Amino acid sequence: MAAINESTRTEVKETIIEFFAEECEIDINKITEASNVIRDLEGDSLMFLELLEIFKKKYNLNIELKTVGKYVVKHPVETVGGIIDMTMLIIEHENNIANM
Amino acid sequence: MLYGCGIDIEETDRFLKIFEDPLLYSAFVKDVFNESEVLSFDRINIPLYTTAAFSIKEAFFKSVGKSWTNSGLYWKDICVIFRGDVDRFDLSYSNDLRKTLADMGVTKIEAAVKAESTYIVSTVVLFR
Repeated sequence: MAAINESTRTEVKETIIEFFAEECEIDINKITEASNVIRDLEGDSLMFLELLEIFKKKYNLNIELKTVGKYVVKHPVETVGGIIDMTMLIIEHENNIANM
Repeated sequence: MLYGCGIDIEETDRFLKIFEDPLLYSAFVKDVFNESEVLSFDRINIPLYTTAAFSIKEAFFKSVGKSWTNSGLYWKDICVIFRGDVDRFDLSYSNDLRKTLADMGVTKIEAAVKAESTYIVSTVVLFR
């Protein structure tokens, strides 16, 4: 598990917003935590997968996609803020998020 | 009787970022594909085969009417084995997926993929 500190959420938020701005070709200033990933950004599963791989690499995380899938079935994620929160949980708990 | 139809279109350029980063590609492949699938990819055109296999899996999820984040189905539950060409392949399924399909009453599955210059289009049709 990666160490979490006050700057981690800021770092995660910046990475996610920069990623969607580039992938979706949207002005970065128009993306907020309330932005709906599908409706507002036209995000898709490949983007979600890429983001997970980016964070796995960045924080050296041990997390399986199946575990993320199980978590999201129980806790649907629709907004950028939701993805940030879920990413923080993954960084903090890795595969243990399946039990949350 | 038709149960569901899934159509997926992938722009091959969108995968470039993944292909250009060996670590990202390796992690992506490990998470999405079974070893037997990767072994069936044509060595001289890995990007085409990776994108096609991904697209077929996406079309499969859509034919069920869900995605991997809300269905309890996972990427590795579907196994795409190519037979020498990108439009010739066999599908096989994990035991969990077999059970799900049986519960849905699905008795027949037809799938096709077509590779154009910059797009790959996949279709999966479920019958019961």
